Amino acid sequence: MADKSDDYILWEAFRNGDEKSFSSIFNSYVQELYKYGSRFSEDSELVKDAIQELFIKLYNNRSNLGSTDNIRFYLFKALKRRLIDELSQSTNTISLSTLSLPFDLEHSPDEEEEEWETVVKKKKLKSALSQLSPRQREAIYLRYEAEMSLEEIAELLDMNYQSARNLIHRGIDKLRKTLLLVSLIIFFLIF
Amino acid sequence: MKNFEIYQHYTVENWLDDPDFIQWIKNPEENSNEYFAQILKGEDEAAETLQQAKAVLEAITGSGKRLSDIEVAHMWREISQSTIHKPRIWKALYTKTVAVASVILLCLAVSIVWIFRNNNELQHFAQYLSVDSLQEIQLVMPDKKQMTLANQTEVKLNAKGDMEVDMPKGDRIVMETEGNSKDICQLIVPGGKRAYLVLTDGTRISVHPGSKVVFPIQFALKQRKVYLEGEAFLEVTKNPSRPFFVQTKQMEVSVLGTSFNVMAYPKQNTQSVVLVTGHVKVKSENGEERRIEPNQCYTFDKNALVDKIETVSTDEYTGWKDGVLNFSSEPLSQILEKVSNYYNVSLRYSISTMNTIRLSGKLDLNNTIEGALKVLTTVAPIEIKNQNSQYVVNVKP
Repeated sequence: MADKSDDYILWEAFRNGDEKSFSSIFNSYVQELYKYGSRFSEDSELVKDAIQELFIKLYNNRSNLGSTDNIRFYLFKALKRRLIDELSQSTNTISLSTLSLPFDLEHSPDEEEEEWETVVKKKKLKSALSQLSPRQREAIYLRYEAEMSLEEIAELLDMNYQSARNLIHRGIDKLRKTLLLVSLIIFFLIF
Repeated sequence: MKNFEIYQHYTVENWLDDPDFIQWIKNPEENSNEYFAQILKGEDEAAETLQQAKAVLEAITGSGKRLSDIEVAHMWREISQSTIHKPRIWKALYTKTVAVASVILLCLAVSIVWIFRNNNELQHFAQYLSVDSLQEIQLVMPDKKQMTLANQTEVKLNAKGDMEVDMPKGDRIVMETEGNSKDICQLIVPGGKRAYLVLTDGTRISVHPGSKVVFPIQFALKQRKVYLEGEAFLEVTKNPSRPFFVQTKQMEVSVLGTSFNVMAYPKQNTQSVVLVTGHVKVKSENGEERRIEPNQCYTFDKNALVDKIETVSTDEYTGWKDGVLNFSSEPLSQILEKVSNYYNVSLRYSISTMNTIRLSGKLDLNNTIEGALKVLTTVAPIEIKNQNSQYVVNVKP
C-alpha cells in the first residue's frame, strides 16, 4: 500500500493536470476497483463503464477536487457512489438506499472438476454467505479482501466505527459456525 | 513471524487480523507454508482455530474477477480520449473568437456567402476532404476546424443552433454556433464506422461508412437541403411547407416526410434510393422525375443514363444503420461487396464463383472486419486469406 505522503504528492500532481500521474493512478487501482465493483453487479460492462466514467469525471473536475492522502480509499468511495447511482437507475427503483444495494461475495465456479468434498463445502459456503446481509458481506470483503482499516470501512458503509466492528465480528462468527458444521457433516459422512 | 506461544490463545478473529496469516493465505510461499503447517500439525486449540480462520478467509477472498490487459488498455483508451487526448472544444474557441475577431469573421461570412451563392454550394464544400484519406470520423465546422469523433457518435443540432455531440459512452460536448443557415458543416465517416446526425427539424440521418454528408447549421426558410456522397438512411420530419432535398452528384431526391435509404458512391456506376415509408421523388441527370412507392428501389446508371424501379425487401438495404447486414438467399458476391463497402477494405474474389453460393441471415457489423469474415467462413464453404493487405476469398478445396 502506498505511503501517505506519496499519495498526497501523486494526487496533487494529478490535480495540476499531470498526465503521467493520471495514468499511473488509473493503472494502480483499476484491477482493485473492478474487483470491488463486480461485487455489486454481475454486469461487467456496467462496472467497466462506471470506472471509465469515474476517471473521466475526476480528470475533467480535477481543479475542483479536494486533496487526499489516501487515493485508494477516495476511489473506492467514488466508485461506490457512482454504482449506487447507476444501479438505482437501471433497476428503475425510485429510491434505493445504500442499505439495499446487493453485494455478492460468491466466486464464479471453477471450470475444472472438483472433488465431492469441495463441492459440498462450496455449496454450504454459498448458503453461509447468503445468510449474511449485503452490508455484512461488503464489510467483510473490505476488511479481508481489500484489507481496509475499520475507520475506512465505517466511512464507506456510512456507519460508526463500533458498528462496523460489530458487523464484521458477527459476520465472521456466522461464517465460522456454518463452516464448522460443514466439516463435521463431511466427517460423519466419510467415516 | 511471531512466536508459537502467542498463537496458542488466538481466536479466529485474531487470526483474521494477523497480517502474516493473511499474507500466507493470499500469497503462500514456501517459508510461510512450512511455518503454518507446523501449527496445523499441533492438533491443539491453535490448530483448530487456524483451520477455521483459513476456511473463512478462503471463503471470502479467492480469485474473483480480473480484467485482461487488453480490457485495461481499452478502458484507458476510452478514458484518455475523453480527457487528455480530447479534441479541443469548439465552444471555447467560438465564443472567444466571436468576441475578439468579429471583423475577421464578418469578412469570412461574406466570402462564404459568395462562394455558396450558386446552386451547388453544398457540393462545393464536400470537395474539402476525401473519405478515403481518413481513419476516424471527422466533423468539419464552418471555419474548417476539424473534430475527431468516436464510432457511433450522434451529432445533434437543436433549434437554437447549438450542436450537441453525444459520444457512445455517454459524454456530451455542446458547441454554440451562430445558427446561421449559411454556416455549413460536414460529417465524414470512414470505412468500418457509423455516425448519426439529427438536424434542426428533427430529421435523422444514419451515415454509412465511407460516406460524407454536408449540411447547414440552420435550414433556409423555404427548403431543407443536404448533400450526400456515399450512403445514408434518412428519416425526414414531415413539413409540407419546407420540402426536404437530398442532393447527390447525379440525383436529387425530394421528399415531404418519409424514411428511405440513398446510395450514391462516387466510384460506383449506379446510385439508388430505397423507400421504406412515405413518398419521394427522384430526379436524376437524365432529367426525368420519378415517383417512388414504399418497398421500391430506384436505380440510376450514370454511364448509360438510364433508370429503373423494382420492388425489394428494404431490410437488406437499411439494416446497416442498426449495425446488422440482413440478407435472404443473397449471392455471396453481393454480400462480400456490402462487407467490403462497409469496412472500406478490398476483397478479391471471383464473382461468378461466389454467385453460386447463396446465404440467408444476419451479419453483425459491430464486429471488426476479421470478425465479420470469420463468421462468413464458418457458414459458407469458403476460406479467406490476408495477402498484402488484401483479403482473398476462395471456395474451400
